[in-house]
Amino acid sequence: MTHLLRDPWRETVLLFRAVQAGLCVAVLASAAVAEAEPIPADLKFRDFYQLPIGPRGLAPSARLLSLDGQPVRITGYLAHQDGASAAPGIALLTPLPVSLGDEDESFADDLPPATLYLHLAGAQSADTVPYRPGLVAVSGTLQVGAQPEADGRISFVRLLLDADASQRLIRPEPVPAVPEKSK
Amino acid sequence: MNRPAVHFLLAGALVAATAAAQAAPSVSRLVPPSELFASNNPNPPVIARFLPGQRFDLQATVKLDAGTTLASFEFAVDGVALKPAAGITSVVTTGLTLPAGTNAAVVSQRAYSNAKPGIHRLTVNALQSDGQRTSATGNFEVVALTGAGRKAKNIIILLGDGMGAAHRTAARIMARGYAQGKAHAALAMDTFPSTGMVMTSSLDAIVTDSAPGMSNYVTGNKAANNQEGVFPDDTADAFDNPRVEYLSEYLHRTQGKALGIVTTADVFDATPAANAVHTSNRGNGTGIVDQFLDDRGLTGLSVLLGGGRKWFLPNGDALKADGSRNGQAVNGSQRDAKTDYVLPADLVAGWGAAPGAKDPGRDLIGDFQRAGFAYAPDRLGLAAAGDADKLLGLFAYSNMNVAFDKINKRRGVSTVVDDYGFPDQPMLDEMAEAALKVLSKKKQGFVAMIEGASIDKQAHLMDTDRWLLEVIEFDRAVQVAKDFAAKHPDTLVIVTADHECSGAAIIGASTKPVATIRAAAAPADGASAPSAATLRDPVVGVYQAAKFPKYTIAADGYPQSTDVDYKMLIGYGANADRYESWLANATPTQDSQQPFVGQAPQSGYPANPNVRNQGAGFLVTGQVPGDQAVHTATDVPLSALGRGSALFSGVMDNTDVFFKIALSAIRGTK
Repeated sequence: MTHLLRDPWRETVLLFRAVQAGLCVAVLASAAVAEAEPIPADLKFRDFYQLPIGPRGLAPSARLLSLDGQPVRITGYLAHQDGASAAPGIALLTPLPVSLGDEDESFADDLPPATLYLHLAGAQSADTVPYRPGLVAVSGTLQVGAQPEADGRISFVRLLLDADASQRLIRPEPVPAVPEKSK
Repeated sequence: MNRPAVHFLLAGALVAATAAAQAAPSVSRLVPPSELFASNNPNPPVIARFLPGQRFDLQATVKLDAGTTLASFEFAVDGVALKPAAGITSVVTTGLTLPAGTNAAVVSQRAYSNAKPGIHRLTVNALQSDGQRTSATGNFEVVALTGAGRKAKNIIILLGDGMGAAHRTAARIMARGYAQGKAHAALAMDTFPSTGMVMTSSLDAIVTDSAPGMSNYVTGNKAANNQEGVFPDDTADAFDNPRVEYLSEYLHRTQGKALGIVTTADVFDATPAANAVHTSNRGNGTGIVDQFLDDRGLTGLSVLLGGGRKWFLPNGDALKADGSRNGQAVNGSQRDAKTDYVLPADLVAGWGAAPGAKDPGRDLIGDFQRAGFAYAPDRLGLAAAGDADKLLGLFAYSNMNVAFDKINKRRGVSTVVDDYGFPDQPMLDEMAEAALKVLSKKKQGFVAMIEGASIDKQAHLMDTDRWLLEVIEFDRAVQVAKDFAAKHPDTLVIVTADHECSGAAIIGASTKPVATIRAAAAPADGASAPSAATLRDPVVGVYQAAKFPKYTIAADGYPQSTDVDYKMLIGYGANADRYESWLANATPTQDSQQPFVGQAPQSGYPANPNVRNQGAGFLVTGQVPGDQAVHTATDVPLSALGRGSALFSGVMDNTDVFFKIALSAIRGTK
């Protein structure tokens, strides 16, 4: 079950008690739907990998591995991509705003290692996710493991969105302004 | 790509194609670039220059009439048609970056060289399939190396990225102190006997980026921005550009010298790569790090130290046939096929280069180890690898942490390096010492490039206190090289920069104790917000009001604190919008390339200089857009010590430096 959460702010607080204090999200799903489904676990980007980093690179945390295949929810930013680097059916959720596609540094280098690939559901798999600034909260089924993506990169962690949430993600709607305190 | 090997010999002079009644073929690019081709000016100094025997590619873009093809081509030097060996020429007609609908062919002859000093005329002759011909002429120079004497066996280039005169001076004021107008002591780089000024422009702009900024020093030729070890071309492939032989390659091929590269940046970064890797896109990390290893037979690469572990980790390649996931380790690898390389056959044949492969699943650390490299992942590992014959050190996921944060970790007053996931990173001088220990075993000598990378990166961010400690760290590496040269007299040591960054200027010093600045930067409720009236006008002391700022230097060689009473103040002439508080920033600015960026505690770091110190500093409106300061075209200082150092005085172009180094290494100096 995936939720793309839309306003209002009051509903956000009700839906995401576990989201850290002060965090603002764009609420794109209804509370009624949320209550009918299993409560997804809260996942944070800092939960992805172990600290410190080992001589052979990052290692997934026990928590990330334990949530593989489980419903989770997470808040982050949609990566801003130019037309050449974006691919239909997927979007990249990052822990901070990033802009990809600069020739100077190449596209791969601006992407934080803790990047979550959002996969739209089948009916929307050919659609392109429009960029929207600010934080968005999403939920779906977590998938951990390397996999080639349509944009040429290889993902490590993915979130498989359901049809309802996918539709909301590609719908060009005005996004509530993010309060300054949450930036 | 269509790359048949095609060449032919033209008999007699060509008839000008413009005589034809219809449109005619033409040459729109001729490589090496020359003003003779571009503007019909036959005279130096604007000319591509090479050492006798230095290899470079010849290339031309031939515009063809619609409906025709290229029948044949040849290059001629001084009117004599070349006779290239089989397999080292090519014709490329697809994958071009020319406007849509353009019918053109990019023709190449790889790894040409000329041993005869003097100016040579380069001509390309092409035959279109309908019988029309075209030709174009440029020129290049082979530089005569004259004189004889004791040769420089070892070459050490210390590159302070972005380090202009102001950065050097500011570090001296902080690290050594002044009294009565005189420095108490000099920086290590100040003690070098020869000093000059370097003009840093790239092939295509007065302001260079770090790729040509370094490449120009070690090829003797101007590269375009974002490009390293190559000339520009009209193909989309970033690894097929016409190459120029690097200093490392030339001296490895002719003298058997080894190459060492040491940087505090990610090793794929422009400065380190522009000593060994040939590409027109400095961002192609996977291919760049692969080429470091793959072409070690050309460069003699024996030491590679820095950050950038993310490019060396195997990346998963596919789902299993049964649809299950492949079990590839989730390791944060950034390797991918898009940034990897495969070379065209003519380039492989001409240069003897490795062909490359699109192999994101490659375990490059393992491949380095299998090639005989010891691998050091941290400071302890570096210390343990001291007796290695070849050494790979990858101390961070991306760029290494800066000296300010590394030294404060060692002092137990900062956990920034822990936040990045790499708590035990070496300082640059420790890396330099380890590198020179390995390289000193090379009987034929070596070329070493040691870079203080984050002088530039922190100057971009206008984080004054951080770039100041970067210069101090860099100067400690200079001292290591100076000590090495004292023990190994046939060593040439050069200290310079690829360009200036940020338009840094020492504007004076605070007229107030630091407590007063802190109070103005954090006003009590109801008091005035920080402004020019509270933080600039009463604080900035110019001329004699600046006096002589004094810092206490700790036993580790770095200032105990940069927030001292009456501290030195820095301004920026190439700045973006920012807020100035004059105080050291407790944490660095967020870097999207770092692990755990955007997550606590890094999420509490300043997002960028546009918002850093908002509410704690006064707004300084920038002259440049964006959120970072930029490089400038200002000349940079160069200091030289050791064998051949007397050559490095006066005002010189960055390509001149290459020929001075080569003269020292090849002919020697008295």
